Amino acid sequence: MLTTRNLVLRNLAYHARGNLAVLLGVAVGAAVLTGALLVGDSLRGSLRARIERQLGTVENVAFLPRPVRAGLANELPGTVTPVLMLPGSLRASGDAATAPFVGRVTILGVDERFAPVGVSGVNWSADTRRSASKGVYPPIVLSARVAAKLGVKAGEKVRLGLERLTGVPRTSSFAKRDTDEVTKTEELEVFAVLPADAPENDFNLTPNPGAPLNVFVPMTTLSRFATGDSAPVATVLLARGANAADLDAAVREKLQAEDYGLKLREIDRRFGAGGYVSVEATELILTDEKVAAVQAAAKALGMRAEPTVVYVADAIAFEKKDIPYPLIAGVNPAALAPLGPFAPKGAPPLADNEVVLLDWPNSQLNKLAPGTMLKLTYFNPDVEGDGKLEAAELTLRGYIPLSGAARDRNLTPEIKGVTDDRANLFDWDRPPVLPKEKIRERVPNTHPRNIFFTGNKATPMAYLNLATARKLFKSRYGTDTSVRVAPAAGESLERTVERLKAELPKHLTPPADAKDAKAEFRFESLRARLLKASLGGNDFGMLFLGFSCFLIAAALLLVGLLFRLSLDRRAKEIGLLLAAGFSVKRVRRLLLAEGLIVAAVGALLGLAVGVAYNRLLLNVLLNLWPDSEVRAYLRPHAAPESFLLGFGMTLAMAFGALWWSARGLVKVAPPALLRGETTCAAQSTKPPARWLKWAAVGALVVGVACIASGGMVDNPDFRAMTFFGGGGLLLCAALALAALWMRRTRHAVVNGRGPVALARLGTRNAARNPNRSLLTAALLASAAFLLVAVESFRRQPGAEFADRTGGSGGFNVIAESDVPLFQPFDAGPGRADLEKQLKRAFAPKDGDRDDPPETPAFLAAKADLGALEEAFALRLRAGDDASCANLYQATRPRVLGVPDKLIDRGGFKFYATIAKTPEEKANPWLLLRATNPNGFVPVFCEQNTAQWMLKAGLGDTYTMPGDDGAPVKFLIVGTLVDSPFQSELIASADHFDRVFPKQTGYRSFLIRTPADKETAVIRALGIGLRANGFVAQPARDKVAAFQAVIGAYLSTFQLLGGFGLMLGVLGLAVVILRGVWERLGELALLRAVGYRTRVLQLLVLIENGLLLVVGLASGVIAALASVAPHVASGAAVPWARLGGMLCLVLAVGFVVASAATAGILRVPVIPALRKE
Amino acid sequence: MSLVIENVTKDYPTRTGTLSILRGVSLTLERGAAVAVMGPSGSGKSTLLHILGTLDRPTGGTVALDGTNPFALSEPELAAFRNARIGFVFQDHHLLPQCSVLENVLIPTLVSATTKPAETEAYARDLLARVGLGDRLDHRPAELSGGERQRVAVARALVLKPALLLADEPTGNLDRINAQAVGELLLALHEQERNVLVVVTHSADLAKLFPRRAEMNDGHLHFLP
Repeated sequence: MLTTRNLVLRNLAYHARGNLAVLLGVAVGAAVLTGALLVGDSLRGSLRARIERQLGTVENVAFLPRPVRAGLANELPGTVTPVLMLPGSLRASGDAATAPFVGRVTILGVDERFAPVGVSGVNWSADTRRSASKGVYPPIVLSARVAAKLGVKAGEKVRLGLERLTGVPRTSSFAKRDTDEVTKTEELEVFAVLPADAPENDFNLTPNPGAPLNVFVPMTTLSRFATGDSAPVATVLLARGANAADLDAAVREKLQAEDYGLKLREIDRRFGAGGYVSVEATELILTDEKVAAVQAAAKALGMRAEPTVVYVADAIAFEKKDIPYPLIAGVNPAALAPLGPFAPKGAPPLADNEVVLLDWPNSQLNKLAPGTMLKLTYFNPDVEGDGKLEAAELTLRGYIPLSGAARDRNLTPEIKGVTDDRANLFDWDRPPVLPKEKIRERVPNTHPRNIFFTGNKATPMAYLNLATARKLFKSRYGTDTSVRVAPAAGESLERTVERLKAELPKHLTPPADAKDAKAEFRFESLRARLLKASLGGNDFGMLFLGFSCFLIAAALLLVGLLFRLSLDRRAKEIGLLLAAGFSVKRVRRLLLAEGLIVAAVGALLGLAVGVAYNRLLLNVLLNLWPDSEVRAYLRPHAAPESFLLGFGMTLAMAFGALWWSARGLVKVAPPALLRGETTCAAQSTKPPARWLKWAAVGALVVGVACIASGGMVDNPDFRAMTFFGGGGLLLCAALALAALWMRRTRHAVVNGRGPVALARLGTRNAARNPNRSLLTAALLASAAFLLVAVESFRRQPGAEFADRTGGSGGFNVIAESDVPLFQPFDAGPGRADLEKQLKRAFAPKDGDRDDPPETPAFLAAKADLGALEEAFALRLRAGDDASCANLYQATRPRVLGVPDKLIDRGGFKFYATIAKTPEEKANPWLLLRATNPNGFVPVFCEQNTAQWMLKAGLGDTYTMPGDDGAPVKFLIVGTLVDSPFQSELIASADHFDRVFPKQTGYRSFLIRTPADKETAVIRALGIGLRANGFVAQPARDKVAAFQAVIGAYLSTFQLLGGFGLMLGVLGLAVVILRGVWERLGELALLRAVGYRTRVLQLLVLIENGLLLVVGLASGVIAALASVAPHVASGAAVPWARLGGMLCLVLAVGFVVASAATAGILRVPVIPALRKE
Repeated sequence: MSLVIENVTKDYPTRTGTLSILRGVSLTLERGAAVAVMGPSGSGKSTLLHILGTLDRPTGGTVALDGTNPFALSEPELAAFRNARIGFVFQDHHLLPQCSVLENVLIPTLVSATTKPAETEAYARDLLARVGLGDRLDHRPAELSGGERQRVAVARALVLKPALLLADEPTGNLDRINAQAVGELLLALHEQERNVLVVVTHSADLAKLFPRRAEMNDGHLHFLP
């Protein structure tokens, strides 16, 4: 018996062909929707899997501010593994200049607890010393990637380069800075190469795109390389099985004064002044917090404490007489023994800017009258490189004898080679501030200063009060060099040290609840942070979904079109049902039930296709992505929710499309339907509804306003919203205008003859079925919108890229080193050092390493270096790569510190700045010097980085911790375009030093050379600075790599547009064929009245070509309007390519339309005329 | 001006042999002649009309309109010939729904090689006035009744002043009153234009209006007394 259900099923079967078309349309929509969601799943899933793999079992990590005894790990809860993790480089054995070299290597000093699994035979606890004569070398285990890059295998020798860890900051006048002092190179033997699938290959603690280049060395050996001592030290603690809070609490308990970098020296005075304990920093300078902690500890123990500053000046002089290189002490002059006093007897307290000189035989400044003005010259402690000589006027208060507290060489903190008994003045070879040659010249052997040094070593020669010393010698690390603590009455120095050691940690540890307080030791839930970063810099699922919106809309429009066409064919059947007494509602339900069944099957099919579509998109993205590493880990992933969401959303949207399609048809009167008519007579001739006009105007106004406002704000989310929202509204407006035109009643009479008249008739025909025409145009418009909008975002650095005001800032080479450089390599001692390293690299193997000969290869390289025109050294705080190449979310981007000279020089291409004054507008770099009342650090960054990775705009702040762990806000005061700085924020060196005081030296470099010397200079620098892991590359290559990533995104998004266009063209073909089928009689009549078939074909082509043009034009106009702010900002839109692409689209559209209209030639006239 | 057909035959090959629809039809009609062709379904009258209108080709025999054998023309020439010399009225009006009444009448003029647009438009308006639709020029077909639509189709058939006006069941879809009106209109316009009018119809009422009537039977044409 026929029931409604049976009827539905029979209808489905009978109209299978029409239903199949609808089903396929829904499947396309579901595939696109689900595929877009799966792209997001794949990215998140792949990044998450990579994080899981790179972290292994590590949950919490403490990055230590300095190497700390590895034993600390044993005292903590859970399983804590110490690792000495250092950046470095590796070179294969062979000729130094040509042997394979790998920079950016992560050297992991490990013991058994973190030794690579499966590598047996290495004693990870032993320190194997090199003995070439015995053929014994320390072992190293290479990751598969490093071995492949170097082309070495087990048993071969490699040379490891790393930074020597010195307690004394390299910036200090006491520190040496040349390559041999800063870097350490050691020859090791490759014990094993890890298999390619070993998880240790991928161990990495940062969410960065590059594959880690890990090598494993026994911790004791690496500790010796880095610190000179085999005692195992660690720079990171890897924890699992305990949470960060518990670990932090335990750390606070277990840390000892030494772990904070404090050393306590018992100063047992032998000259009757009594002994004291000198609390000093291994890093030479005590931070203000540590000074306060030592003072508090002493106070708690009832001891006196005196902070002390000792600084080596350039000279202290009166007229032409001076004392070269005097040690100046800042003390409490009135301190009681054993910590003082340092003032002439009976004199009033030493005032600010007053100085007391040591009275020593043969002093050049003897016998000056109190009140004499002395000139102190000294190097600014915060200025690296060439150093900056400062001067101060001091008033001589008087002299104190070389006795008592003043006869104390231990006032100067202990520095190897400076204060020890074997030190001599000439060992203070600290170029460029204190070069040996200069010391020798100023202080010959017979000079009183040298004689004094021989007898008294580092005993200070002048005393200031503490305030004056702190004012003059303040550095970003702090100022004080020691806190001297007097033992309690009757207490031995040994006991004092014991008590101090026990007390100090209580005062050095910040309170447990001080979340943002400065804390050197803090475990971080790294796994949680990296897993959060693995959600991606951008929500790719949403991004793809956003760009797929147009494609999904196109698919739905096609579904609507196909469904309506299918229903049109069933007009008589619907009329019959209505005539037979079915209510309109019932008929609609019947049709929708059929449609939904078809849609559900289509959506299910679409889910399966979506999986394949996701793979296709990933493949396209991976093939276009410039970094092959991404291919190694980006895999398809699928979350069940995505399928559910894809299915549900597709069904809901398909229902809407079906309802909309069925809506009009059931309104047609049954007799008309029975005649095969599918539109109401009144409906087809009625003037356009007023709402349509208002909708067109409204969409136009709101769309323009949206885009205009988007051009004025910097919030990236708002911008993206204006792009999609404003563009979509303009598209709607354009289509509404087209609809208005199609529905308008007052057309000029189609008259005349020839092609023009035919064109007019074709135009009229295009408006014959406004809904259908509009749907077709909308299909094409949405695809064109996407293609054009995306294309206009494709950037190519313009011809001005190489200019000073271009993207490169005029620097054609950009470089980075693993180990910092502490002196500029373009001139002075740094250049000399570079040439020395070059000479060594090109020297014969058995030549004298300290004085190698000048080989022709060296001379050629030296000549190449002569082509260096300009070079700037920048500070670098390593961090997350914030460029578009990083799929992870960059939570702590890299930061560069640019020197004053570069700020004064200016240049580079800006997208926007907050410059207000004419000076700032002329040179926006001046903005970096500004001091913000809120303590914000002004920074620049690349526009793309700000918008997409940091989600911040001009005037916004970005927060991340400084070196002391406290959060710092970075204020974006300018955004750059086409610059090589896409991975980082750029701050002034002054601000940088304030926020990241622990980052010393220079690791990033901007270099300008003549174009023809670029390669030669890159090579020479690479070889000369190989120990530093220096890698240079042309700036345009770096920018091109970024552009390639953006291009990969854009091409993928354009692929979506291309698919949309395919759907649009398919829709157009369907419309044409359907139109021809419907109008057979009409077309036959035209032939009957004398229209040639070619003319008819032309006529149909014109009317459908018009839809093509209207659709494309609507999309193009809307897209161009929506990207207008972007274009207005100076973006170099590839117009030619865009025009070519549109012409191609138009041509393809016309070809498809022509093919579809070719059927007209085969239309049989007589049956058509008879409606058979 | 004359329409001369001699011994026209039309055969269709079928699986069971050749099916002859027209078996040697001959006919001569001079300018001003009007004839109604009647006959049972399948007798070949519409086939004859289509051959007269050059929409179909005869298997044998000749057709000459004013001495021109249209079937000797190339496809473009034939289309031009049909456009200039022949007017059609079908049972189904085949009006373009997207065009107004006036525009529908003007449709054949768009591909005419000889007409002047201003003149043809004036003539179209005149024709529409003569068919009683002078006040409905801007209306769309959907706004017309069946009879009115057919009158537009008649006007369209005459707009290029064809020498031969062919009508295939022009009143087949109309009620009696409208059928009568359309028939009279056809004849009246024929009188005014002095063309050759051939109407194929089942309707005896329509046929009665014509001065000459013929019957198709088994592929043969016989004039009725």
